[in-house]
Parts: sequence; C-alpha cells; structure tokens
Amino acid sequence: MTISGKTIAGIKIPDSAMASQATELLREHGSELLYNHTLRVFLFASLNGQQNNLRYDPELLYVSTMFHDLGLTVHYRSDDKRFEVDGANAARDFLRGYGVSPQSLQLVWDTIALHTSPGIAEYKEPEVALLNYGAALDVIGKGYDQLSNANREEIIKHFPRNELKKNMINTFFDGFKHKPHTTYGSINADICACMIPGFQRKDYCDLILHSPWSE
Amino acid sequence: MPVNKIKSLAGIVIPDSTIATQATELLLTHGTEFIYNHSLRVFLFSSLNGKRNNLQYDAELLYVASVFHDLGLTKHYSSPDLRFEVDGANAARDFLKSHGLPKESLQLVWDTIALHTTIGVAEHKENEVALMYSGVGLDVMGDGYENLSAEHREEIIHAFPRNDFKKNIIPTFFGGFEHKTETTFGNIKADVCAFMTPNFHRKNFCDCILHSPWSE
Repeated sequence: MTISGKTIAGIKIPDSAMASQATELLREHGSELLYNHTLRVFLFASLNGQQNNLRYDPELLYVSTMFHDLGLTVHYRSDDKRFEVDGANAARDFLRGYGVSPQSLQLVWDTIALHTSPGIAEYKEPEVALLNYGAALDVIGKGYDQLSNANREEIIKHFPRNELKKNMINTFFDGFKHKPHTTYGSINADICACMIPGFQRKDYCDLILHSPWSE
Repeated sequence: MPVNKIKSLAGIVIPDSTIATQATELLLTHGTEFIYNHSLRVFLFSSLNGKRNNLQYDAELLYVASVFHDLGLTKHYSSPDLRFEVDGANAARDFLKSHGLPKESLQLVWDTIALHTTIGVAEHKENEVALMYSGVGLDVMGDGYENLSAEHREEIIHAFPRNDFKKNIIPTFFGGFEHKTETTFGNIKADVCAFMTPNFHRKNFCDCILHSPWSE
C-alpha cells in the first residue's frame, strides 16, 4: 500500500522519489504508532498552512515531518545528542544525497531540531512553524478547535491514533532513556520525570549559583 | 554610563562600524550597566571561542546579536506575551533591516538571539549561533571556564566587571518575564520562575498530553 500522491482532507501527499524514499525510511525504522502520528502531523501542518495562506515547500515540509521523530528509533539515535538533533542530522544527510541546496538543508534541520521548542518555532520560517503546529496539535491538542470534524475524522480514519495518550509518553521515553540528560531545558525533561522514579532534574539556578566564577 | 571606547581586548577587536556603534548605544540607553557588562563579556568570550576553534564567522553580526541578546528583558523591548529571547531577536531584526542587511543575515541574527537559551540545539547550528550560545554559557554558568586563560579572564573582567553576577542575574532574568511566566514553559527559564516564586506551578508536558482534547 502506497500513500504517495493520495489526497487526504484536501492535502496531497507528495509523490516525488525523495518523498517516497523518506516515507520508506519511516516505515522501515519507525513503529506503526510513529508512522500514523507522523502522517497526521504532516496533514495537520499542511491544513494550517493552507488556512493561513502560508507559502511553504510541501516536499521539504513532508521530508521534515517524516524524519521529525526518527531520532527516537534504534537506527537513528545517538548516545549523546537530543533526539530532535539526531532526526535533524539524519534528514540533512538524506537530503544531501538529492543535491538539495544548503539553505534548504538548514531549513529542514531547523524544522526538525526545533519542533519541541515552544515559543520559538512558531516565529521562524513557515516550514518550521507548521511542523511545530502539526506536532503540537497531534500530541497536546493545541489548535484542536481549528480542525473541522470532517477533516479530523478523515485523517484519523486513514491514520488511527493507536491510543496515543496511553502510548506516546512511553514511546518518547524509549527514544532517550539512555540519555535523559539531553532533555535538560526542554519539554522532554517532564517525560523523564514521569517515567523515572526520583528523577533529579538539573536546575538552571543551581548551575548559575555553583558555577566556577567567584561572583 | 560612558560609551565604550575600548577598541580591542584579549586580542579581540570590538566592532566600531556605524551599525555596531548604534547597537551599543541602544544597549546603553535601554539596558542597565549589569546587562551591558554581561553582553560585552558574552561577545568577547564568544569571539575567543571562535578564534580558538578557528571558526569563520561575521564579527559584526555576532556583536549585534550579543548586544541585543538580553534586550528583550528590558521595559523598552519586552512584549506582553512572547519569550524574551524572541523579543530581543525581533528587535535586532528590525534594527538590522533598517540598515539594509540581507534577509539571510537577519535570520541568522534572529536565530542567534532566539536560541541562546535552547540547550542541545544552538551548539549544532551556524557558527554565530553556536558561538554566542557558548559565550552566554561561559558567562552565566561557567561552561568552558577551563578554556579561558587567567590572563584573558582578568583583562575582560577588569574592563567589564561581573557586578556580583551570581547574586543579581537570577532577579534580573525574572524581572524581564515575571509578567509572562507562562512563556518559560519547556525551557531553562522555568527554573528561574520556580526559584523566585514560592509555589510556582510549572506546566507539565505529560499533563498536556494526557489532558488534551483528543479522546485517545
């Protein structure tokens, strides 16, 4: 079953060789939960772009979306970097193989690396803002009111939520439980605190007050 | 406060172009002496890191980014609802736009300022972004302190004193966003709110997931 070129909720899934290959990588390395989440994120992001008449590159948005959580997977995760950065690096390497311009590489890198940075991503380039929007809608329901019932149902029918509320925290945690320190200063520190009994968060004020500076 | 007349320090030239000088004047007008000294140290530390690692970067853009990086904390530049980092980034972008800089430079400076508190991401971005992040990390938390020679440290602190930094920086930060503590969700400044506000209630990402409007 291929989804390339299909139109769902009025949004066409890009069908270039590059887009199809990115989809294949997601199918190969991601779980069904991540696959369905990722496709919903693309559709939500695109609907928002359409609603706000934003100019963006659908193919770059699509590839960014395909890779946005791949840094959580065994194949793409590093021992020491944030999972967002692992996904961003993987997408950049992937796109280099297609001769994409340095500006587009950086744009995709930023789109993925910043998709969990509230208060910043939404003010960057449209692709960055849109992926953040789609991910936030799917994960925490931000902007849920702007999604029509018809679009919501059509999207969920194609890409079911697979009990996201029950499964997503665990899925996130699996992706970085070997490096919980990489969640310091990000929303994912809350995931570690949920999942690790007695998890000690690093504290910014402690770091300031105990720095090697004398005053 | 006298305008800084120092041309170079610790082997680093302080930019003195029209753009750089005007940016410095804005910092002197709207910032405090404390923020001014911090911002200049950040520029010098960032530049020293760039030099040590042989990085190519635009010194003027790095300078303007450093000068504006905390201006979002000040009354003049603070918005009611955006992160202070974004307020500073927007102010720098407007400033540079008025000087006719290309849009790539505007975005680079915007990113440098907006991401200077985003741990684990800024260090992997463009050189200017990574450098200013390293300069802030050194001045605020002492990250990379061991790479700074005692001689450079003394020279820089002599020109731009720390003004009891450990005691004053946390209240200074808080003063810049106490009217919008919700903007610190998911970033290091939430720790500042928790430090300064008894019983501060942190928004929690897991709660947001579990109590979203989605049925499952």
